[in-house]
Amino acid sequence: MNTNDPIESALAWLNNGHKVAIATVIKTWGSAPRKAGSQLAIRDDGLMVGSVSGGCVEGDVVSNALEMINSPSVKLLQYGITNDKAWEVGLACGGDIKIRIESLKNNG
Amino acid sequence: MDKKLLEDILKFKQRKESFCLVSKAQSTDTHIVSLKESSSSPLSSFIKKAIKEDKLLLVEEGGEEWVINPFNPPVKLIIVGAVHVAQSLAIMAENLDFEVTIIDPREAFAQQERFPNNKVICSWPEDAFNDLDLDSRTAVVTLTHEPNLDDVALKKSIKSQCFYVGALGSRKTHQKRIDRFLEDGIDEQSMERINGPIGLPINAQTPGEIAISIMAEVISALRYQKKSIKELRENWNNR
Repeated sequence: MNTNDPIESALAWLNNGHKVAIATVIKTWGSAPRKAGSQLAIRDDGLMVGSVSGGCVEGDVVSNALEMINSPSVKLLQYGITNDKAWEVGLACGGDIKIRIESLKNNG
Repeated sequence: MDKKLLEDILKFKQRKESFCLVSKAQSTDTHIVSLKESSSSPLSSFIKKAIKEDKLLLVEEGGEEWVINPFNPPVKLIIVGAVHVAQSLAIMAENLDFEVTIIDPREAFAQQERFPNNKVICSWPEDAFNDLDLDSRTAVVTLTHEPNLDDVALKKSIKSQCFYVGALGSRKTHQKRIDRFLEDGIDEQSMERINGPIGLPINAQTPGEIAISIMAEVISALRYQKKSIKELRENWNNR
């Protein structure tokens, strides 16, 4: 298994009985650290594989993912220097990114 | 998204087929549409565009916002010359998710043990290249220093769609190569497709350093597709 690949990791985690969510960068403005399409897989204990930024917002994406990981759902998040939380989890590069998190169904 | 979908994604990746993950932006509806089957989808034109440009699209269609995330097969790197630099280059390229193929007719070099994770073809480039698809997501690098090995590969590559062609060798060696090719009736414009001496000028010394300089140039050619390689070289040399 490629332990660096979000999809492969997500599948292995589901097979081991974990709950899983996948975050995807769906839009970027300005100098965003990772291009649209970049993915981060999140396991129910907080372990993550992949990235949606240069490390700037992953922490917040993981806590959002953990809130919704128990049932299949979708959440949209936006980060940038215009965000109120800029000092906490904003992007240092001055770009803006929109992220879609989907928590997965484990249908055995 | 569920387990079945993840398994299907991995199957498509294994088969090296281009596909998109198509999701409703606001709900859990995510499915796979392959390039082959895309014509029947109402989002067909967006799916084709996303795959062609290798770029996620966020679009509105039928009163719904859609995320169209393309997955293309890995970029290919073909290395002629199973030499020491090739060993470092293969490891590096593989780390960057390139699919690496090494070609060398010399049995002493073309040993699987020297390239444990890559496809090694022990035959002459003129034979091996007949079976290769030199498409726009392929880079070709020649490392043997031997005209009878490198030249055929280079001639086939500059006539193909591949996005990068590079040849190891000093300025002198490259000038000799240019003279040879011109004598063989190859035009100057085609010759300009060959990056020689290969790699970005970082004064690389060891095989590993040379591999970094080559890999950096391959990436610049891949990511700056709007610029010609010649233009990139000149920009870099004028820094």
